[in-house]
Amino acid sequence: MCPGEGAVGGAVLVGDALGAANPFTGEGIAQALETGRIAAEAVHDHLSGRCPMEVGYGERLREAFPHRNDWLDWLAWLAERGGFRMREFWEVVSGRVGSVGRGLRAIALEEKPPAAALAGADQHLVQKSWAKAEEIIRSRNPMLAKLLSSVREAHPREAGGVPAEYWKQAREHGEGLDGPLALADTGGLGCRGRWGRGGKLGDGAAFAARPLGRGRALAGNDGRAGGGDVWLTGGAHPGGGVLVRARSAERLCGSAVAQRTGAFPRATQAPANPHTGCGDDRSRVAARRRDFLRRRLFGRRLGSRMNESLLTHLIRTVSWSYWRSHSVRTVLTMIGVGMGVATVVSIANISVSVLDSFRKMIDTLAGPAHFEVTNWGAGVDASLLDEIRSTPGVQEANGVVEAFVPLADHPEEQVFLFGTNFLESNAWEALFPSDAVHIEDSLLFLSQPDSVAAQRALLERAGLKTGDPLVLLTASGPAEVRIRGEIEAGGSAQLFGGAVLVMDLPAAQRLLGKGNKLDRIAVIVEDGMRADEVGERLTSEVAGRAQVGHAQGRGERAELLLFSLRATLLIMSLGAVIVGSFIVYQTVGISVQQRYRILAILNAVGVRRRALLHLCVVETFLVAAAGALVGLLAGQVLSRVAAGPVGGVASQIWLRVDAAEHVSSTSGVLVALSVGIMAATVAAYLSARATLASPTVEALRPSAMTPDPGGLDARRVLIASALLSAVWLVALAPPDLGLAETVSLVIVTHSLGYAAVALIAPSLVQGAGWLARRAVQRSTGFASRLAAENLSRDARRSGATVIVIASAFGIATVVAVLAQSFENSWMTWIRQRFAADLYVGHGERVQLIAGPPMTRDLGERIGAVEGVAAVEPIRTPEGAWPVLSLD
Amino acid sequence: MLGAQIVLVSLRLVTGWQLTLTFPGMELLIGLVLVALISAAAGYVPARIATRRSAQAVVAD
Repeated sequence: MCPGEGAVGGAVLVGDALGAANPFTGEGIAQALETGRIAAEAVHDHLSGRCPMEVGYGERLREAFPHRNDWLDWLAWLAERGGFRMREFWEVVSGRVGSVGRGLRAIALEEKPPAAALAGADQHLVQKSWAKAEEIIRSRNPMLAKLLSSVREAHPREAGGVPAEYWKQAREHGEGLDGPLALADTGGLGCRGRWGRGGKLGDGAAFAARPLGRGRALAGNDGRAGGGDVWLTGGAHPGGGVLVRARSAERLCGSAVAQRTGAFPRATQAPANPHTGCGDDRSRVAARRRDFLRRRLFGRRLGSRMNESLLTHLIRTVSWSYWRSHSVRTVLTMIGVGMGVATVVSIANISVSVLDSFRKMIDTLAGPAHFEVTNWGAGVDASLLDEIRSTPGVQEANGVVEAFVPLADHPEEQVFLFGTNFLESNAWEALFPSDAVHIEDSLLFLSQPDSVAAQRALLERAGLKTGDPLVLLTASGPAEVRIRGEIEAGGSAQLFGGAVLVMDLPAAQRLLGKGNKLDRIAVIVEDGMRADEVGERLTSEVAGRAQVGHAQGRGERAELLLFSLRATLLIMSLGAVIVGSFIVYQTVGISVQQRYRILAILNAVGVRRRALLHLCVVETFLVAAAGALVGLLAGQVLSRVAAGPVGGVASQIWLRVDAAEHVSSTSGVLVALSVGIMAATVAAYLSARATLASPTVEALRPSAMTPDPGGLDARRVLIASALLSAVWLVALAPPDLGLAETVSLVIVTHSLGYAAVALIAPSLVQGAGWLARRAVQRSTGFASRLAAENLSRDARRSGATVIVIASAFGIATVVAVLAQSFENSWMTWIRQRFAADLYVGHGERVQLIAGPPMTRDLGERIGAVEGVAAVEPIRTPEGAWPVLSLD
Repeated sequence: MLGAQIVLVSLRLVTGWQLTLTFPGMELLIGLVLVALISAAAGYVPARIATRRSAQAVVAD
């Protein structure tokens, strides 16, 4: 048998001893496992008399690594031809140049590297060709030269190779063994005498030890164990230098092959091994294994801390080490979780802030009144005021006129003009506290019809002071008032950002053209009187002339008007939850997938998959919790920043609200934290489970990748189609459902839509990859062809990105379609309903707070404008669609 | 489709409003272009950073 075929004497070389490592990267763990599996099968064939070891192993190696000589061809080709251009490189990468091309393609696309099986003897040839090839490449292709030289500098040992030493030691050990065969690896042969116990590690061992802490993963390099017909030597048994190979070799020899053939002598039939517990009962084996692993993996200090769980140790050693060595990746994961949480928190806070501001405005304006007497938009006759005051049980009744009026100098700013006898009544103490209202001459204030008192915030904003004139745009044109008072605090300061003017009632009536009308009469019931009885008396008193309602009823009516706003915010919140969940899921999923090799190595060294699953979940929980806290803070800041603009939009569409006062939504915070942490944990669980479900050998391949199944997944497409169809099931809902039920139904059906997108996303990626490959089929551009090849390499991971973008864009589309449809329908309704070319309104969108009615004089003036054919007066009842008034 | 469902079904169920479905083509086209640009930037920036690392560092990592 020649050395290159992997067996000599009684020894079968595997892994590094065979030279089975990627010459570019020096990576050899996967090759060690794979050659171990091949060797085990060859050993089985040999023992069963089917095929001699000397023949079977070599054939199997050649079959498994058919392109190993391609590299020699390629290097020779490079050396002889002396030329290498990008186009040729692409030809090679695309696999058009036969076996040589497949070799390069494997490197470029991270497929199974054919160079992995370069035997030790082959490496000599590689070394001879290398210098010449590198010289040529360096002069012709800087990119490839950089790669080659960097790899060589990073792994000089691989480039150098010492196959002769391997073979020498293999012969010594192989011939001296009691059994007919031995599996050897550098852990047992190459390391012996050269690196020794606690000395320098091989690349594979160092890689295995890295997440655990250098030096901890290694024990003696010269252990021998086993029995029967098979000897496991050096790195091929758990006491050896490289636990990765040891565990896998044991598994391969002891279970996979044996169970399949039923003839191979199982490792468990051997005498009890002090390390592995082979041959012992299962519980003792498990206990010994745990003890062994703890001592080997985490050092002897663990012996004094036996109460500490394996999980805690894994987090302390593996996770902490990973977080520190990949701090940027860890921070990015936290940011991903934080973004999801921040999105939900900010939307919830904005929603609550807007609605809370609105409720406060209603409560403030209502004051201490128990009842309000109104007459829709027509106004209440002022003569009713005395009748109401004389009604038994009524302590106080105050007439009010109120309107939003623009400032002439700042038309974009509307001020709330509030007219009542605020100086004579204590009913408005909360709104205008007496110690906060500064009027130098009360007599002058009351006697002059143009007197107003203004909120200090408004004065500061407009650069005004007491005594200055102020021009308001009223229904009858610009009207000048004079500031004769200043209000520095109180409930009015909370209203509309302080844009509040207060006037004496008669002056306000005159200014707003109300005549003898009042917008409402606020009624306070005497202490000790039953409000219901007083309300009934008032109702009978004003019957036919006005309506009596509870003061809080105005808030309820207004909340009804704001229902569409609430529904919109609720749907936005839903979108935020979904998008946040996807962001968190995708971030964590990628984070776990990026660590699949570390997880596979841990599994290979003996940490059970269940423990790894727990490790992933707990570790992600910790990262997600930290990210969620950061997101919580970010969400608070974001909502403070965005509440103002959102409130402004709401003011323009519905009615004036001031969301500047920030309110934190407790339920929103809880939902956000739950969504963030749960989505992260579920993502970690699913990703880790998927990762750990693949065979360890596959996961440890340097080029391990999710295979592209090709084509569309018909089952996913069918389920997604069914879910999309189910979105329309909401149409079957009965019309008398309550608010909560209706909104819940809408949310559930929308969630089905997003779930459908999540299901179909990988198939979309595959479809896009297929199209891209077709599109660039004739292209000679390297980047485009490589991109097309890569597009569907990992459809599941790319699909997660698609889901995030699609869900975010979906939310935006829903809002855009809703807004556009609303505007279009509204304008269409106006055109059909009124059939006019121009509409003039008094400025109020919703007549929750009565606006100044337009005068007939204004209608006449509009009619006198050149080009106006007719003026048609319109008035709609309070509470209907936005009021259009024309005179 | 979700937008259509909201406008044609959900909104009528919740508020009683019957709106005509209008598709804001230009706004969504701008949104699509923005998403494409942002996605391209999201791929370009890390790729640029990655290519600045030496191949040796990448391989060693």
